[in-house]
Amino acid sequence: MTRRLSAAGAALALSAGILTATSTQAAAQDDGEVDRLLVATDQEVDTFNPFKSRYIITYETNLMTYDTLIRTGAENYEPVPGLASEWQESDDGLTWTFTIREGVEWSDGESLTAEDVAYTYDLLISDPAIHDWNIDFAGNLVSAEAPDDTTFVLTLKEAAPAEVLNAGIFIVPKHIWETYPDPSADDANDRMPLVGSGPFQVSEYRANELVRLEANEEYWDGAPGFDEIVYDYYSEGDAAVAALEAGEVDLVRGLNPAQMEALEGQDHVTVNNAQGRRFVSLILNHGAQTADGELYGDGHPALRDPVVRQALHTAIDKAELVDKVLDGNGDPAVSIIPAIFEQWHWDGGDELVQFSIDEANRLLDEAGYERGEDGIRTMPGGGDPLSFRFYHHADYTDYANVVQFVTEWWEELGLEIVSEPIEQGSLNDLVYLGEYDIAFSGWGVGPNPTEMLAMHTCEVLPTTTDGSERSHENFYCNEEYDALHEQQVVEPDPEARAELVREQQRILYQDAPVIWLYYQNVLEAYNHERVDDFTVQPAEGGMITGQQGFIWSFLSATPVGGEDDGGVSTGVLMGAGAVLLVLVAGGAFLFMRRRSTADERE
Amino acid sequence: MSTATRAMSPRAVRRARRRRAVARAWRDYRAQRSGMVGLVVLGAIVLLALAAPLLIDASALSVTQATGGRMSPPSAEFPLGTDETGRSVLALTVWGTRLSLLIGLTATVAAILVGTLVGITSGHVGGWYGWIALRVSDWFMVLPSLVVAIALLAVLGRSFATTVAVIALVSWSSTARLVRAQTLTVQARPYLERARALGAGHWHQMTRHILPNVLPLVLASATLLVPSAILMESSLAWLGLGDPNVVSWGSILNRASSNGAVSAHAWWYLLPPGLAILIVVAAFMMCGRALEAVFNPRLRGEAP
Repeated sequence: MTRRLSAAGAALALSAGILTATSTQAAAQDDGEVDRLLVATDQEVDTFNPFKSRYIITYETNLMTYDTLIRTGAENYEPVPGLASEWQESDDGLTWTFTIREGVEWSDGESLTAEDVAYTYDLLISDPAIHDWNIDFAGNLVSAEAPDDTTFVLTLKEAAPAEVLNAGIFIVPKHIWETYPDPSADDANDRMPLVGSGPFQVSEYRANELVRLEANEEYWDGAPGFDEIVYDYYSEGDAAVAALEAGEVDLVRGLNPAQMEALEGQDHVTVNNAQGRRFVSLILNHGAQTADGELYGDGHPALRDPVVRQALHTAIDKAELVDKVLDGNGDPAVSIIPAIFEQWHWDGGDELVQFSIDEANRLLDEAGYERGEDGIRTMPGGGDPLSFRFYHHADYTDYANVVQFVTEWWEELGLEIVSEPIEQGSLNDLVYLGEYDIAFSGWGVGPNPTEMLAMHTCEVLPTTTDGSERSHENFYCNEEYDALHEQQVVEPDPEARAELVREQQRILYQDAPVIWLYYQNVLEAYNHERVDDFTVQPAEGGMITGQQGFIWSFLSATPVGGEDDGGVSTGVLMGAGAVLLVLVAGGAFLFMRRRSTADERE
Repeated sequence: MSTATRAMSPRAVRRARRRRAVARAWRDYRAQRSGMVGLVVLGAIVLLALAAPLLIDASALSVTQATGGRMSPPSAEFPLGTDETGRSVLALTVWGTRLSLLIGLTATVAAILVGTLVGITSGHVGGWYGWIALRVSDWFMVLPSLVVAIALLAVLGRSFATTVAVIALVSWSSTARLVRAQTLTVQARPYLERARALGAGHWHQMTRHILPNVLPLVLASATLLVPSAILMESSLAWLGLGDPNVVSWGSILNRASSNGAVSAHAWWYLLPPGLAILIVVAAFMMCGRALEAVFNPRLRGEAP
């Protein structure tokens, strides 16, 4: 019986791909009355509490539901007016005065005043849980006051112009939030529809089914082109692609190269291949430590040696990774700030590491890591072999491909590489406990470089060894780097600040606690027979999804008339065929089992 | 003739008897056409798996040395096309045979060992131990195996060893049941009573009398467990729960689907591992069914 169950279970699981592809068709029916933008997604919702959400999908629903004082521009990520029409910084940089727009209304009809803004910023200061969640910014706040309905005054401990301009704090309605027993709770803000002042408000959420946002027709910056935005869940990327081909979904993101190529052949689909602001990197355990300098974890001692880290770096052909893993849809990475932010990005100059297995071997030879009889190098003086654990995220296909390439290169250096895919949560736990040697990491970088650079300062080192303090990336601490960091945070002149930021990146690159592999392009596609006029960010070759600081694309998008009735696409048929084969195997198995039991019963 | 028999040592008698039994079983087996077809196919596949390193150099699995294009269709150089890193799908599928078979066989051996051990001891010893063993195997039988396997792999991590252990864990109980039932029938036979009367201990009874009598059944059951283990491995790997550092049919399918082979209509990437699974599973089923017909005591009356 178990055998039969297992075969049946396998068959069920294998057919899941088809089921998702077909069941979602029903959910995506258009009723013709409402102009609806259907966006494919696979990410669950963490929380609708705008102070706590960390996922991309909730970041986007927050951006649409609420407003921020200052937006991030669509042109080139520059700060542009949002709820605040203008702002003034005091000479010492500690007091900021914002003028709040008049006549703005919440989606329930109440009017929005500086009082709401002060209430929101005060939550960051006085609510301990919200304060801790946003410690980078909230830790620097002294007071938030509203002297009158259109003026908001923010006082800081230390000058930090870039932080204030890029804070992106979502302004919440005081008259609603005051009624919440605990505004910091994950489920505090779950009463639908949410009340906000943004262009769309979340009105319905069904787990693993959809998130619906309704347009705010009274939006102060003009009514949106669509009546509704619906995030439709597709658990398989190929199912979402097939749905786009069949006209059942309008916008699909996170495509892989094969999917993009397939979609380029479709007449009704426009593919957007935009330079991204996300990097993928390898973090090396160069010595997990607390703020007091206490070493902990079980990282390999060889990785504390900068020469070994440099050798690992030298033996990675980033151009080949971009070419083979990303099919050219990205750029080899140099430093922590992606090339899309050219004003901050450091390009390596003469110090750029060139891929060379020979050079890497030479570095290790000279540093005294000799090869043992089995070809594996050992610590100088014949100690432990250089065997590194290499952890990657189990659900990222690209990472698994990168692991194969990198492992093959590193094995040529006489290193033993033990790679293991681990669930994201467990992997993060291991990293913050210092129980790893080499692991993957990746971040979407915002226009303010401080966010990323701050993760490598001594200040954010954990005070305990239990792995609960997670503001740091991988235990980096360097006084020279910190001094530069303090300077750049308060530096008002952008050019001078950029110099400091580039110097910080150079130090990180040389010391190599992290090896940045590539900057990934954003691959997305939409049905131009149903939607048009997306504003991209940045203006030059920019992205539609994954925008920062405001969703310009969804506000400007307009519906295109005309309906086409799609059938089951060839993509779905192909998938069905492939799965069918395996099903037949299972079926043959079941069939023969049944026959044999029938025989037994004679 | 009779003098010769008398002159033979007990060991020689036993050997001769076993030889006769094997010959009889082989004759019965040969009489079943599907069993023979399965055996031939299986032999060819095992041969292919063993000879894989001779036929295709291991460097064909290296991503850094791959020469093909990205998911290019079948050509003279790559008869079954290439994957997303430019490796030959044919090479991957042939090498995948090794791992898929190895995991299928290892997991089956492990499951059979545990199942037989629990089955014989619970049937022979009985009492509270037998009762507990029975309940434990019942419990494993009603668990949805794929769900349990997924949960376990997520907790234990993904490697060859954990995959084998997990598959064995969810499939030992049916063997235990089968063996226990057979043990109980053997127990009731008079010669065991005689052995007990002559002072045979539990160990002697179990290893010398019960085990030889349940082994044929165990063999048949094992042959039927292998395909389910291979299917289970493929399903788990296809769901992304296999060891990604090795090549198995399930992991090829997983890579194909997660790299967009379905959207790209790259049938050459999906079909070969799928067909391979189909053929091996069918071959094992044919052999297993034939073996079952030979050894199952309830069918013995039909045998000539």
